Amino acid sequence: MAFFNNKRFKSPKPLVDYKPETKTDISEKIDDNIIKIKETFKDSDDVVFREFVVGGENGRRMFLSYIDGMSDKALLDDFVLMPLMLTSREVKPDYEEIKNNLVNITKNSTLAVTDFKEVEKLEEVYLSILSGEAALFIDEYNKAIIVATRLWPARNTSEPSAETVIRGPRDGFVETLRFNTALIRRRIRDTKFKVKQLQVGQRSKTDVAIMYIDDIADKRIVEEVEKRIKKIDIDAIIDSGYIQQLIEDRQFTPFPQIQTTERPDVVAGAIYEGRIGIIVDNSPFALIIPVTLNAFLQSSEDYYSRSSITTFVRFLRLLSGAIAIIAPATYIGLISFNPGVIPTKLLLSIAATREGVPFPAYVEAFVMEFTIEFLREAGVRLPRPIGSTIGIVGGLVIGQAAVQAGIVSPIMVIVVAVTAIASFAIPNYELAAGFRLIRFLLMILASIYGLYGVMLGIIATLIHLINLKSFGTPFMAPLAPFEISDIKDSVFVRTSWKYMKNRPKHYDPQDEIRQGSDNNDA
Amino acid sequence: MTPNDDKISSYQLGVIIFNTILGIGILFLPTSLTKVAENDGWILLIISGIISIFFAYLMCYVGKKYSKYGLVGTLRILFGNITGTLLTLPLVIYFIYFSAIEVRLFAETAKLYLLPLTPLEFIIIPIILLTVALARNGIETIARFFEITMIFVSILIFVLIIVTIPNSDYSNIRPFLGTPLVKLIKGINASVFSYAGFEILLVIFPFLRTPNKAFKSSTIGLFLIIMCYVIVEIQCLAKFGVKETQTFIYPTISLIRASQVPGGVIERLEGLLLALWVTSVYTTIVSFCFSISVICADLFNQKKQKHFVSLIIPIIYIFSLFGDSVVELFDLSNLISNTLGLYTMGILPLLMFIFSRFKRDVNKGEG
Repeated sequence: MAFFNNKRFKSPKPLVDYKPETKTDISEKIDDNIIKIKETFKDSDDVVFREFVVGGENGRRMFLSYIDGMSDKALLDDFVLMPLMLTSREVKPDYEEIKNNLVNITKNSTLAVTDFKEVEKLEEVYLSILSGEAALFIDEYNKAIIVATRLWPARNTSEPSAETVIRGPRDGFVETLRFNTALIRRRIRDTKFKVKQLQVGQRSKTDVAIMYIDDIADKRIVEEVEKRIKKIDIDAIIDSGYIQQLIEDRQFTPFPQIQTTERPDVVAGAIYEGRIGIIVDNSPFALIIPVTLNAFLQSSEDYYSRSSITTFVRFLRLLSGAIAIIAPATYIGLISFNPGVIPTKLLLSIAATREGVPFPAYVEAFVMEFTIEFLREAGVRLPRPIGSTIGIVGGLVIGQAAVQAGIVSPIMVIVVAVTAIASFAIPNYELAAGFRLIRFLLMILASIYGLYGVMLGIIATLIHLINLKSFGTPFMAPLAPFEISDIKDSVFVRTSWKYMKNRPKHYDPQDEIRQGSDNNDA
Repeated sequence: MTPNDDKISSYQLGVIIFNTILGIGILFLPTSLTKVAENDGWILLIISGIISIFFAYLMCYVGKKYSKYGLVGTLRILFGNITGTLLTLPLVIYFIYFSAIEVRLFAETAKLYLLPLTPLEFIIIPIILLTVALARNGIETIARFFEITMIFVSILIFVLIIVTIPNSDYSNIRPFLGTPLVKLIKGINASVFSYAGFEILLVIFPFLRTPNKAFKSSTIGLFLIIMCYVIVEIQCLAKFGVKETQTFIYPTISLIRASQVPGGVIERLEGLLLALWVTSVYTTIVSFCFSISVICADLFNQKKQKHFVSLIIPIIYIFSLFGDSVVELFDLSNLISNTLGLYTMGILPLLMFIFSRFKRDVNKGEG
């Protein structure tokens, strides 16, 4: 902390400074409030207004308002209206006493709900009603009682389709914020675990929850994240992708600087490492900040399976990442510029199969790469039954027809297929998408400069990656800057849990110790 | 915890030294060594390596003492404003020439083995543009880039050494110390300059987080280089013998060419080697470019070095087009190293060392 430096964060400029809105007080006369609320929610037919009287014929007037479908009607009927209207009648009423004390009686002994609060401004009332709470006004009382009747409509948690694992929990996030925070909370029963809720979007007022463990996460990053989210000035947040792009450091890069996941166990694990999770209402994708390339090449399963197996799998992923980037470019470079590197026998057979092909290697490569990209895109959008048809058609086009028609050589088919398979082996979809763009860049360079061009492209990509920072954390950590203790859990290896006693240093956790120094020793 | 103060750790310094020295030179080294020292080239390498470490020590001694001021500031303190400024000028020219020759030699080699039909200019331009892209970003980014390439280059060197081991006749290295002493001493001149690159120590001190550890880490960097060079030299001798090695222009490439990957997965490794060697050459140019830009920024009292990188690059490009053939380039590079190189790596550090000793005494006397 001694080296704290403001330059660490380059935060985007605020679009608009938040000014405190002028707010209207709630009037003591209930009629004023009713008129204002009805005026505000004019033409909104799903808003329910309910006026009633408590305490006999000339009792006190009350007013209840909520949005149909967003609030728990049964709860309102049974535990708010029922006690107020009926139970109060059963008690031998001393009208005068009740009349004077109605507010306190209501709050302390009548409202049989767990969660309610009082607000003083009308704007807060509107916001609460819009969020699904019910607002209760009492005549001659200048506050409104907000009853927490919010319904959290949610589908059942199901296994996330983009991040399936063999060994590991099967639950995934849903579209409801409160469910998602609960899924995390179940995994972190710690008083230091914080869930800070903000509302983003001038019109959508979307709930955004920032989650971290207070004494592990780097305070500066927490503050920075909060600051950047508060600076967002936009009409609506539909998905967490909005937040992701609005708070990222660099916009013009194919590489994401914030990790997205559908798995609560991934978020919980990240929070224990001292990172920060963000959940946005209506989005099943949680964000994790900060992230490194290292983290992108890991899967949650890595931490549940045996370390030796995981190390092998990580090596495979590294290899597949490399192949996904350079394989077609290397093919172009080798065939067009440096065929001498290929062993003679293989070269002869390649030359024989390429004999009928009328195009140079780079045309061939671009044709095939684009075909497979079309197939991928078509397969994603189409409904399942047609999707598989596309797979068969594509397989025929790529595997057989193109070769027999003499447009491409069989070896090119192999290169493209291996590249496609390798790019699916990268665990994170967004990173794989970034790699796809880099692949095309390298292919262009290879068609100009051969193998030299491939290297130039790799250097350029590396410079870019080195320059990237995710909320102050270098993207290539722990390789650059090199941190020997973090290599234990990196792209190359994962040692056994017994030896990963400390949290990764490159995330700057306040508390580095994950396991006590003596325990777990054999 | 990684503070973000645009400074580098001592580990990163070692990496920078290693990457800066390792460049195109290793491709030519064995021939020039065997020409002057025959069988004892590798002994010569060790001796000159130790000499380099000694001069690195001088640089570190002075740098540590005036770590805040940078090279230009230190020279101005030691020699006065005008003399100090004048003393840096040969340095700048040397750095520019050195990077220009490095680029050009690489381009020539790449043209020969990789891109026979591409004009030289088109090989030089992209690598120079990439140099700007990295050198602009400041020392910390450069150091991080070097850390990545360090892993990559180490694996590459390891593989290449393993590959060259079969079919080597190590009796070729004998007899030891057969060359006359006078010849050896003369040869030191040639071999010391194969370590050119550690003179960035002159410039780098203001960017160090722990200037006290600089000597240790740069020695480790130099030591690794000495090992690499010695192994390459020994492998070359073992494979070809003295007489044959003397005839090559690119002995290291010939060495790789004479070796085969077991299983025959790749034939003619040298094409692949050269393509991969781009990173190594690139890192050398980047550090030199960065050094020049830092010196220039200091000379003109500017805080930001990054604009100077863009200014220097056209000069390096023009300089890199001088000379018509590799042989001419060798002559030119010998000329440069024997004059400006000697000044930068030997005379200047020695002068600075002596003056800084003297200066301290004066300070004590006054204080």
